[in-house]
Amino acid sequence: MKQSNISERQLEYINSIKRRKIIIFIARILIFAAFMGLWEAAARTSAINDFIFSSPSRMLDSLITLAGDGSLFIHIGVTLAETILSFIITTVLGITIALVLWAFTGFARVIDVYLVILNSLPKTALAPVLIVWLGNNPKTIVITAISVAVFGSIITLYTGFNSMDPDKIKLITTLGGSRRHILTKVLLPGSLPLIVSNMKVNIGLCLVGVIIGEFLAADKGLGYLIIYSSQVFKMDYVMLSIFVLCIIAMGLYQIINYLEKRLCVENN
Amino acid sequence: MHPALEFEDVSFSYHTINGEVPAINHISFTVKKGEFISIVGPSGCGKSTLMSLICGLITPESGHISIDGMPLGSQTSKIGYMLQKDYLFEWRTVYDNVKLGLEIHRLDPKESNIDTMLENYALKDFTDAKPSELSGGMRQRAALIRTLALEPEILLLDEPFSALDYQTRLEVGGDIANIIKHEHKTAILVTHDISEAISLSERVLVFSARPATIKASIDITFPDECKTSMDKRNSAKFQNYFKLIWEELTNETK
Repeated sequence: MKQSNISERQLEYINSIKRRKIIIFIARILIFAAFMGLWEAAARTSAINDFIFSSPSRMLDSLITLAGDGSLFIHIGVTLAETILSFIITTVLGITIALVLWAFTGFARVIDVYLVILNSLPKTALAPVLIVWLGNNPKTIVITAISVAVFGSIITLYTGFNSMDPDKIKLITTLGGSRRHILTKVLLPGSLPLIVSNMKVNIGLCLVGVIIGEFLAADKGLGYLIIYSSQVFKMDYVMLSIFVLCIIAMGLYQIINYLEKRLCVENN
Repeated sequence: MHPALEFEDVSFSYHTINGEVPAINHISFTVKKGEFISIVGPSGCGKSTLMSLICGLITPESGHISIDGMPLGSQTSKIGYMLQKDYLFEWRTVYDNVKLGLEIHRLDPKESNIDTMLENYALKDFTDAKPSELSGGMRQRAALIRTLALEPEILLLDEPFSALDYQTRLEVGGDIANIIKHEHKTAILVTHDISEAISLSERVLVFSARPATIKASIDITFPDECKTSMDKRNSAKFQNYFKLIWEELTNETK
């Protein structure tokens, strides 16, 4: 709109910012390329044993094989489905329980010591117990993932809800509002950024939980593929699975990041 | 005619594990309908306790508070409260912020006076704006309209200008006082700013340090030609009032 008004200095400034962005992007690509290149070169020159360490080209071969018979997509699909399901349940449970604790302070005082214990407990310790209790099935994996993420989520959200400015509550009270109004007019809309940033943590932890679960109790999924392939010494499959996991983790995180930007632009 | 607000021998104490803290000690005063009074006193003297008592957030341990001749409690909607900050919610537009109270009471904003007030008080063009796009003064006006939308009889102003910078504060103080006069409301302003109390109100109550008692009640009158709060600040009488109130306050702390 004001194109003609832009001074030369301003243009210079904008260009320098654009240049910086491009440089950062290129640097990122270069690091990836250099890493892959070094790895491949080390494998080809036998500096490392590619039977144990694999190599980008061997991973590519595995990719073609596993994608060719469609099994890779089944593993990805299972892991993704389990992660998303446990993420949704964790988020809903986290918000609900944190709200219940917020609404019933006395109950919260009683229960919070147990939450802290459960949150600090390494949840991997629970996984074998869950398998014995619930059996070798996807339900166990989803519950393992939930157990990894949900306690931290409850604590974070509950602490956030409680740190709301008491004067905002006073505002609603003096306007004649009840506790329900405090919840719907201030607490929930005001906590949206907190909830979304907590979702970012949840999605990562759920993926961790799903992989742990698949290590122990699965016949499908990337976690299963990793543990099975390492047992039969197919390190190419293992490395490929890890590579795919990286992409899934980044993708899921970016989806929430996008959601955060959409919601919080409105909010701020 | 009943006074808008009447305090009869009201006392209130806070209870903590470490003991009892008396905040207000046998206070009695009345506020006439349409009157604008200020309460000044040393910080922590129980001014905010008084406000919370009036709007029913807490109940007195002894004594009576009545509004328009009726005991407090039955008609809290007659009280409007303006907090120290405007607390306009950034996730709502100015209009949606202003109708918050109506929304809580399930009233139709179209049947309320908010459109008229937004127009009268120069916010008409900003109804769809985000609160962050408003200046400090506009934000306070929006907060006032939010309070007035429920048509309270009595307005409690709990240091509503303390978060503003000095210049805005002078402007907004006068603005808000004019709006309150224009809407014929009874107002009680709590402040630690003596000049503000003198230039805005018709009467100043000087409170003692905790537990609060009323030390003095000073009627403020200015000659007719002093219309704006700035005129008042420049008149000779202003200095006299200032000295009077200052002496009452400093007497206290000695």
